[in-house]
Amino acid sequence: MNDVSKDFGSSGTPPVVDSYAHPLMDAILSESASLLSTIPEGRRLLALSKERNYKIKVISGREPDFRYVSEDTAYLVCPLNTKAVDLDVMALIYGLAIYELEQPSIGIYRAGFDPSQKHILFAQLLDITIKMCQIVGEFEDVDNSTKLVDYLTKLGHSELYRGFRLGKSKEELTKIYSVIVNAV
Amino acid sequence: MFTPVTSEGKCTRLPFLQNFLLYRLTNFSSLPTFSMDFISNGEDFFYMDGADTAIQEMVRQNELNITSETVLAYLHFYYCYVRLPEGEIILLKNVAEIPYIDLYDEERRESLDVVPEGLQIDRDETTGEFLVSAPALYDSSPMEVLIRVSPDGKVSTFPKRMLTLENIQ
Repeated sequence: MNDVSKDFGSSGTPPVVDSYAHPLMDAILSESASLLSTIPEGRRLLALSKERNYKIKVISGREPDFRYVSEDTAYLVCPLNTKAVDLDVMALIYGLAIYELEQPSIGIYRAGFDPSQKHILFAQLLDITIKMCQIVGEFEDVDNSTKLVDYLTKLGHSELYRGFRLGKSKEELTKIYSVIVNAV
Repeated sequence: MFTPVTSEGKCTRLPFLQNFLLYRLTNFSSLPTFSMDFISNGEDFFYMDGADTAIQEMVRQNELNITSETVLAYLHFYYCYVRLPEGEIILLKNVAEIPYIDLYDEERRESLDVVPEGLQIDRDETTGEFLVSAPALYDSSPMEVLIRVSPDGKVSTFPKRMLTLENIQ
């Protein structure tokens, strides 16, 4: 799987720590940002993060992921063994974490744990999944790699990605996404 | 990250551990929800950090009990919680299951009692290792794999051959 994955710098074996912070946090952020900066949307997101002073931290966890914490803070989740993680995936996740912090300022709000807000949740998840398609598409254009396309496929979004790349409308993408997540 | 009002804690027994349970803390304050998993005896909590750190702690505490009855559940757990350089590995019920599994299918990935068709479990009496042969999704490809499980919980996975739907018909 990891033909281009890195050990995130040369820090060697992670030290034993007693917190959830990933011991290679600085290297993960630095190398993910470096890769993200090779695409236009990545550069926009990194600049936005700097301008708004977003706080992005990395905690260890079961699989690559990102979590909104507060209006200016998000966590990236990265397995302790970075040899088992694709840097491309972490760069994608870094970009999405920044975008999730940006969303409220562009009118995409977060849903509370309340069934009456499921339409808000749907709109937010659709929006961020389309952003994922945009970032993956830009990476595919830049390096001709299908690594992140394969990752999208694993997540079940291959049809949405295909629709996005074909330039389908937001309405058409919404229909595709509704089928994927079994929304009614 | 977790407050009593907006969070929930659950636990479940793991057949290969004697006095420790798997705990899950979930924060429901916003959606999507956020969970963190731990192995604990109620006093000591070991975070599942994507490596086998907590499992090795169980070995040090003489908690890990891998037998021919528990090795399959152990493997489901291991592949679910330990991130491997080989990529995602999921033991399959059968090859026909492949089109329906994706990374969002948490319930399936966390199911420890799925018995793969054609499962074979042998024990090497000289080393104490278990040798398990089963169909698996190996980095997105359906493969028959041979798995070596050492008494201290180390798992080595070797792809043997690609599987197709014809293989099981």
